[in-house]
Amino acid sequence: MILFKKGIVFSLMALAMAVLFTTLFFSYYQQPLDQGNEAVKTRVLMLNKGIIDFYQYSEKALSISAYKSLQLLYNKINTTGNYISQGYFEKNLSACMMGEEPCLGNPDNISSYLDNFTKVLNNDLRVPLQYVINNITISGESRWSLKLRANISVSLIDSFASWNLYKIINSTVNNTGLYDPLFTQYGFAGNDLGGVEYRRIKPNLNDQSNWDLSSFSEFYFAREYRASFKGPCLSDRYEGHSNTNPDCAIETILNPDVFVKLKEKLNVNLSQLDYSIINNEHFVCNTTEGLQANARYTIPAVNINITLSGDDIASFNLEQERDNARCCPGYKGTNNGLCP
Amino acid sequence: MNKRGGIFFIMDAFLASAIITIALLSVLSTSPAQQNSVDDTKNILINYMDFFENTKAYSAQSQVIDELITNGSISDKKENLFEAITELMIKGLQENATKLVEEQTNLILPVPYSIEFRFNNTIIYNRSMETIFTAKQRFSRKKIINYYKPPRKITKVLSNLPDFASPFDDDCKSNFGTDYDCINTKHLLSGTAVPSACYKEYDDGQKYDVYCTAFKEGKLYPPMIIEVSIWV
Repeated sequence: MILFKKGIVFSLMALAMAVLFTTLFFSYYQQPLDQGNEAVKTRVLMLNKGIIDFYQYSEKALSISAYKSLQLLYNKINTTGNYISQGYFEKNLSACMMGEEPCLGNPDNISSYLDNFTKVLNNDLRVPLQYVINNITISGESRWSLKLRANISVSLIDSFASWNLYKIINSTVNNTGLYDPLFTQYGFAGNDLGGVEYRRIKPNLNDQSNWDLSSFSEFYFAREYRASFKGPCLSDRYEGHSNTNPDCAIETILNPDVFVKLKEKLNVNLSQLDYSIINNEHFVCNTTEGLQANARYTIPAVNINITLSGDDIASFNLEQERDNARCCPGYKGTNNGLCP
Repeated sequence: MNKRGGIFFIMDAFLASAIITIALLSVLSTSPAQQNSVDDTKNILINYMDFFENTKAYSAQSQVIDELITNGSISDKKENLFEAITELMIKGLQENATKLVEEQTNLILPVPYSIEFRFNNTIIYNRSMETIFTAKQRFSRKKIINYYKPPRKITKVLSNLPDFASPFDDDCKSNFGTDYDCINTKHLLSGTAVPSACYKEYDDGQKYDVYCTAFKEGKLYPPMIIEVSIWV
């Protein structure tokens, strides 16, 4: 009986030791600080990622919407025969990108893209994001591309966190494959260019009689042309400024499979002008022949120091991208399009 | 009496060791070792997603991807694997997307792990080692895919065409659609490029390589969601 009682004592001692072990362990066991907050942390990270994704998508939406807007503005010029009033290109472009006049109902306005995105964020990820496009401006341009800047505010309110911020989105739109308003006009530049004919085609694609396709065929086929380094800026051309320079103001992009020499370079998107320079040839356009092939001159010695810039465009030191400068109203065609 | 007492001692020892064992088990079950295993699964999922996001199609060691690039199903070899899958799904080539995911998954995901790969809520690949309902650990991640194709020029070549009858421009259109224009030709005898020969004006009986080109408009697709679940 005494031993039986001892057994109970031993059992109680073992129980006490077990309790002691467990208590000691849990008193020293440090629970990670973020363990209880893991769900909150994940949610906040997800919301933050949603905002980052939104701005990344905005950058692409800005570019594609601008591209479609350039197309619509060209169509407008082509239909009406009138260029955009001087100094109004930027305003027209941003209005088109917002789906306003002169591109009322433009299905490719930037809001339609961003609405698609916010819908997915809301429905699939439960991220209730709202945005406002404050403004869209042109921050720089070259002969064949525009640099755009959009100020977009975002508001996101959730149980765990909220965001209220704005961000400047920068994007570039290239006119690859677009018709160009300047080179659809025909006329004479007049005496300001020394009485030299400046060859253009009238802005009515439906009226073939107004086209001078014979002189342009070599350049115009497949729409693979663009303004040359001395031509007016892209925005200027939508405003009808063309008589900036008597030199060659148009060039084509060549296929390196045909012009095998171009394959030596990494960039396949080389221009006619670039190729001409490599081959010591030069198109002189300030002649009565305009852009005809027989106006091709051979330059005996050309410095072939070639510089490639970017992924897509060979510059050959001919074109300097102007990040901070753009064509100034009132200085069209002077000072190489730069502000004085 | 002594015999009976011995039995009690033995029973008591068993009881005591049972209590201590239970205590130790409860301690061990909340130990960091278990936590590490959970972190491992989570990290495997993160690494899996990173691999698909950071691997370009051209750099993937993959027979499936090489074939898809060659036959044009993947148009840009600089696309990452998520974008390549998106392109295949947009083109309605789900079978190829499944093959791609299966091949890459078998390369990088250890066997004990099960996986489900969804594209816009459609399961395109599933590898189940055990059912998702009995899994000890399960993690999911969603990734928004912004699929954008910038405006671009596409050139295709028609080889060995004779220079009579209709212009080469018509050859481009009849082979590739009205969107294509002839941009150039190469005279196969002399090997020289003849830009204006698109109009078949040199009736010398020689054959040409004809270069057709088209501009494809840029397109920004609505955002799409890829969801990957891993469990073990």
